[in-house]
Amino acid sequence: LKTKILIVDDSSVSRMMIRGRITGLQPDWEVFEAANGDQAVAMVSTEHPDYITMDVNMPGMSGFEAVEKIREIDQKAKIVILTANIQVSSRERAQQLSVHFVQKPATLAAVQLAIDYFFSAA
Amino acid sequence: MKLSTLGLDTLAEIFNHGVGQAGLALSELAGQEVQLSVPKIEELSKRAITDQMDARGANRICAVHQGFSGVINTDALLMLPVDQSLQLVQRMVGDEFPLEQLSEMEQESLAEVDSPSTLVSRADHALYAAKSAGRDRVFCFDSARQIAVLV
Repeated sequence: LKTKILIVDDSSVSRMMIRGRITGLQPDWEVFEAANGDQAVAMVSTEHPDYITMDVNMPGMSGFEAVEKIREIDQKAKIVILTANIQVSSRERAQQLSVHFVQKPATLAAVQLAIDYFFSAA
Repeated sequence: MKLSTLGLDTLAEIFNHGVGQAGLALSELAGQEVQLSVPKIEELSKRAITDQMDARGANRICAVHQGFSGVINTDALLMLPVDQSLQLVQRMVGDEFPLEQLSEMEQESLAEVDSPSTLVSRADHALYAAKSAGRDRVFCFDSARQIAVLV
């Protein structure tokens, strides 16, 4: 059974960068993409990803709100907040939701940090 | 040359990272969270920019101009309506300085700025003076003499 990861980001270039780096580091993973919180919640219901990278500032539902909704339907998926909003309040919100926090830009090192967390939390 | 959708999206994301850093600095200075909206990017003429600012009632604006050089050689201009810029200054300096005093300082520094279109015109003048002078030059528009001067 393939490991599934869902990339949630309204920026197509960010999704492209994250996908490229994940594919390079974990070529066997199946990668899904969502451009907003609503799409992300719907994909969690249908695809049941093992791991999720979640942007915060997105049109409509924020990444944090999306995490709350995802937790109502899936408590197992490991989630990393991957955002440029690096204020203390943002980090604290991630902590409250028991999800990991990684700072953008989505460099190879940042994506590696997210993957390290996925494995450590597995 | 027009930027592609992906090109515009890339610029928006780069700007988003910059604003994220600025948001962190500002939240630490102000001691409270700064709400960041979703970045929106548009390719506009100078006229359209001034029209938009006029439509928002920003008759007087405060602008910070900063150049980038190295990997990329370009300029960035951050513009804030004067009212908001004063609030920002108040947040940063705290309550030790009364708003009236800040307002006077603001008046001094912004006395030469009449309107967004005037400001853009002056920035444009200084920018072309800098470009004509070669790399790594910073020019400022001297409104008293009505010329761009090397800083």
